[in-house]
Amino acid sequence: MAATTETIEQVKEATGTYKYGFVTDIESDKAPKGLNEDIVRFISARKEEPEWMLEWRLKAYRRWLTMESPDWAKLDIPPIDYQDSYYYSAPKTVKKLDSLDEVDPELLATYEKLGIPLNEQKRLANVAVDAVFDSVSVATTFREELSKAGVIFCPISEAIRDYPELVQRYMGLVVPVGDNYFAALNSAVFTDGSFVYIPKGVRCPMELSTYFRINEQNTGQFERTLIIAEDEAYVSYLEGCTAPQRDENQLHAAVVELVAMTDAEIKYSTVQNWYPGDENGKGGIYNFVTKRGVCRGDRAKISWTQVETGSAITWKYPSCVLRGKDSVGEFYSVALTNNHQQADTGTKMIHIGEGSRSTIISKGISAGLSQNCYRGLVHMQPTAENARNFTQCDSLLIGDKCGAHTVPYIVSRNPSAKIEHEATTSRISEDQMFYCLQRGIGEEDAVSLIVNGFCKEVMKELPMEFVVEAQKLIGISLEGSVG
Amino acid sequence: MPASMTLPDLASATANSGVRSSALANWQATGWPGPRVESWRFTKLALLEGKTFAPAHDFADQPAGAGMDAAESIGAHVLRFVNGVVDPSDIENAPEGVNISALAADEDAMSHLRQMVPPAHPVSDLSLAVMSAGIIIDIKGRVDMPLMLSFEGDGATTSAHPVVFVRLFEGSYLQLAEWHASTAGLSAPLTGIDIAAGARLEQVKVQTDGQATTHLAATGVTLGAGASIDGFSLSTGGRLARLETHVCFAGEGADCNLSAIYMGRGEQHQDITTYMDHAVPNCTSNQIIRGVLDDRSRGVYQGRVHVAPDAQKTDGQQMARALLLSRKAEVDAKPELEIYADDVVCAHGATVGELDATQLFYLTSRGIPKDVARAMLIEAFLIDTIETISNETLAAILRPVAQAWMAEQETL
Amino acid sequence: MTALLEIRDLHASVGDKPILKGISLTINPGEVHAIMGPNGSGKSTMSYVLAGRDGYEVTGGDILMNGVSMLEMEPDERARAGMFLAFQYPVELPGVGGMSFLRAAVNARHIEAGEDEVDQLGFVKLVRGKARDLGIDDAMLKRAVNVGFSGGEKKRYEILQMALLEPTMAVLDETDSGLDVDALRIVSEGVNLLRDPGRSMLVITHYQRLLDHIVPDYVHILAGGKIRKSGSKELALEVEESGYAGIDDAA
Ligand SMILES: Nc1ncnc2c1ncn2[C@@H]1O[C@H](COP(=O)(O)OP(=O)(O)O)[C@@H](O)[C@H]1O
Ligand SMILES: [Mg+2]
Repeated sequence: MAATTETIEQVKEATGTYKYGFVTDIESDKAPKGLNEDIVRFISARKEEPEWMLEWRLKAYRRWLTMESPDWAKLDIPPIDYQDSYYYSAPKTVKKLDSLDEVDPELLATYEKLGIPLNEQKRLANVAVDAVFDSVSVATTFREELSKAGVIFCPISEAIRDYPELVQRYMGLVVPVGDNYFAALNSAVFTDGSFVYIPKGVRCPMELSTYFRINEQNTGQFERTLIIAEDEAYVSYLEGCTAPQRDENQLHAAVVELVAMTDAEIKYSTVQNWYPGDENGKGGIYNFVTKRGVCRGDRAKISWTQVETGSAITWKYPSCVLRGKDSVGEFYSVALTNNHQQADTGTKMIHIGEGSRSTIISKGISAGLSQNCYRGLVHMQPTAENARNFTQCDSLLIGDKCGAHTVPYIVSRNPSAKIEHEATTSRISEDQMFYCLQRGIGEEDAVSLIVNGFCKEVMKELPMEFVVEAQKLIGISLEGSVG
Repeated sequence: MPASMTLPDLASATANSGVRSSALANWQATGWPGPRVESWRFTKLALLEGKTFAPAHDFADQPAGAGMDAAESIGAHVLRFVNGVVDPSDIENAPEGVNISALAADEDAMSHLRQMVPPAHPVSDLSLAVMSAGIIIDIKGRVDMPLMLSFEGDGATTSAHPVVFVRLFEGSYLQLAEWHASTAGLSAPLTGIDIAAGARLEQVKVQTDGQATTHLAATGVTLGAGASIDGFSLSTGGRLARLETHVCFAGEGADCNLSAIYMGRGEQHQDITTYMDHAVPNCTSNQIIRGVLDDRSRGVYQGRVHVAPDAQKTDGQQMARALLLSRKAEVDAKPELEIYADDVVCAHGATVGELDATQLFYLTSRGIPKDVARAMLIEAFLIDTIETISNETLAAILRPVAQAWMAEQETL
Repeated sequence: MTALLEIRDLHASVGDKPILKGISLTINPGEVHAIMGPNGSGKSTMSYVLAGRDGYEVTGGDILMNGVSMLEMEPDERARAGMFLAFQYPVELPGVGGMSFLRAAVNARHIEAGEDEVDQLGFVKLVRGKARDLGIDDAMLKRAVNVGFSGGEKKRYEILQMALLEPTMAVLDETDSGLDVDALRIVSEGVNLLRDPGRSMLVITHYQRLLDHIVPDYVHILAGGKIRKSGSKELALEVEESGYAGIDDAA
């Protein structure tokens, strides 16, 4: 308990409630405000992309123009003026990405402040980091060590130039350009993100991590991540995100695609801590994200773990298409909303392969005036012989002004497939609270303790290095929700 | 989208009533739900496309059906509907405490009814507008004789639009059975059940319409303070059947048990849709839904539990299970919790699958042949739910229906 | 004399995992054999293989009852041929009434033998009588099979079924687990009453204490999917004292 109290205190002293709310003062190179074909061309040109990539972007842009923003989620999304935003912003001094010596010291300091040291001496042990600042990747650590193992871990912009055949083969395969409104937008204007390729039989020697930071005002961040694990490959990947405290809303529309071949395993973890807006609901990030993985080969496994505490609005459904025989999909989620935050998040498990199995564990915590919705689909296709799904969705309400919702869709087209879904909604019991208080634990700490206990099944799926961080984050995010 | 299904004498059906002409206007403006309406995503009404139905308006007698036998077995007073038209002779000698009157003459009652029934359901508008029969059943005090509403009918192009408004006055008690055995083309009963403070309704519904019938039932229930309902539906009939029930908790301390079993075979489509609107604190709702699906049949369960802000101490439970007996049988389920109050206990569960292999093994290891063991488990799955009904008289008329379905199963 | 049950070099797998790795065992009519062994040694697997459970695949060897191979027989056929398994973990059958279940099991045998189905009233009396001896009350008989039964009640209910079905070969899988001293005595007495020159038993247990009540003619130690040692009932005492450690090495 002492540790949590200490952290909360420190954070309060240092920065107010949202500890990542500072702005880095750095010169940037920006595209003109607004969105049109010329902006798409501008982005593609700045990235020195091949012609096919530009064509692909333009196709996506034209498709996007014909689409409508989805309205089925339990979200109240204010109209977004897509012309009132910058679609490209890069720190001016960034040139060579793999030499940290040339990275602006301001940036290194920024990441250090975020707890993601990039320079040689202070690097996180055994975690390779790709740092994305606004629209571009500013540094990727441990590249040499990784390349020795045959692993490619680089900014996607670089991959488009250096590994065009891999990118062309896989990009848009899992999340097609026209999959949904935000995916189409992303396909048109994505600026950076990570590319990971694990060759056959390779177990990636370290955790890979991308750290996303929105810094500029009025800037959208549209990153794109593609991870390919060949036969018998393994990788664990983690993304983290923060943004400065600003009064206006900023859009983050990412696309993440995962491809796992036979016997491959991809573990994808997210600690999402975008600026959630202030306690009056002013500002905050709109986090509209499409994440999907396909288990193409037999016994392939994709596991999504997310701890979502940030963003003003979250619209996000990391999904698995379980094509391979005996393939495995997992979704472990903690979604915490406070104040005026809104989250509509969950997963889709599409069972196609015989013997495919999926597990969904979702823990929603609503506090303040927030609305938190689990939305999920389990679909057993006719070919999913003996497939299995188990789903457990638990919601916890803190205070009587918030909402917790559970909307599962269950579709079965194969009798031998077995689906089990359970959901509960409740609040922290008075007995639990009293027990903690009686032991001398303060109210806020008690809530943090109990909520962390409630989330335990999910937390234990996070890579070790990030568990403590995520636990603290939950304590901090709940601040002001009791009393 | 206006309806492509036509009802030729629609205009003549609605004479000068404000409520009914507004319902008619609504129906004409919206018609059957289109493909993008969320609450109808699992149940499409394509088979009504291009059909022409004519509602009956005069009572034409028929040989008595199974509902009448069931009524006799429990000594119920019967209100008999043929093709949606009520037998006038049944209205007269109602038992003590039961008063039956005409709905069409009571604008206030119709307006009240309209507020209770599922708002987005096409039958809520259509059947009120057409109203092949419209009656109000008022209950005062304790009525010991069960009431049976028996619905029969024939004719592939006939549509039945009976509208029944049951009002239980404060502290009253009623046992109500509803029996549908109609072969009309479209069976579209609209029912309002208003249970005043402290009143109690024990109710069962048997839906055994013909294999070509489309059965679309819309029911609205309102519960006053301390009121309670024990409702149970058994649905085996219809080419397509949807039993949609909305329950509104309007007074504190009300209690609702609303359970259903559905069985499908052949090409049948069975849909159970419920909405529990916990608008006030301290109420409980409990639902047990079970489905058995064979051949190419399809089952749908949609259930939403809504807990309004301040509806503290709500206890809302839903448990839906479906058993698939054949390769081509299908199930869709969407149990939903929508919670805006914190001091609540709400939970739902849903399972879909085949018969449990471990249970089958246990039975066969005792020497019971596999097909007998299967039948025992299916029957247990269904009967178990019927055993939760508190009113033994009403439960007694359900068991034979479930067993008859099982018997047909064995001989197939 | 033909053995009642003969297990010949039995190999069996669950999924792709071999669990039984060559078991041979001969049980003559009237004999009681005990099988002991550490957790996970394959005792329950063996009981399932004998009863013919799906997913427990025999990969080698044979099982003969009265000289006839049972491998091609379905579980219910084996049961009607006289095989009975008292489960380690009896499954709950919600909605399946106890009486109708018991009647169905007994009737299946009558139908196969071309006999009349049991008389309902007489049957209820019969069941009640046998139930009383095992301390099973009427309320429990009325409930759905195993639903809401305590661990001990489930075990007693297994023995009740054995008494009603009168098997020639009964396999009792850890029937003593979860029983207190009194319940253990009741159950053992129930089993002992069923000892008969024509009926054999295979008693699977962890503990010597059950064998104090149901005294076996032979004791076998199963470890790692094989019978490591066989002997008289004294072997059980030996195990009780020194554990299974030495036995594993001996193999
Ligand atoms: N259904 C199953 N699937 C996979 N492994 C199993 C299964 N059942 C048993 N096993 C394995 O087989 C071994 C023997 O188990 P079991 O026969 O239950 O042992 P015992 O009854 O002696 O404790 C164990 O290693 C167990 O994990
Ligand atoms: Mg065992």
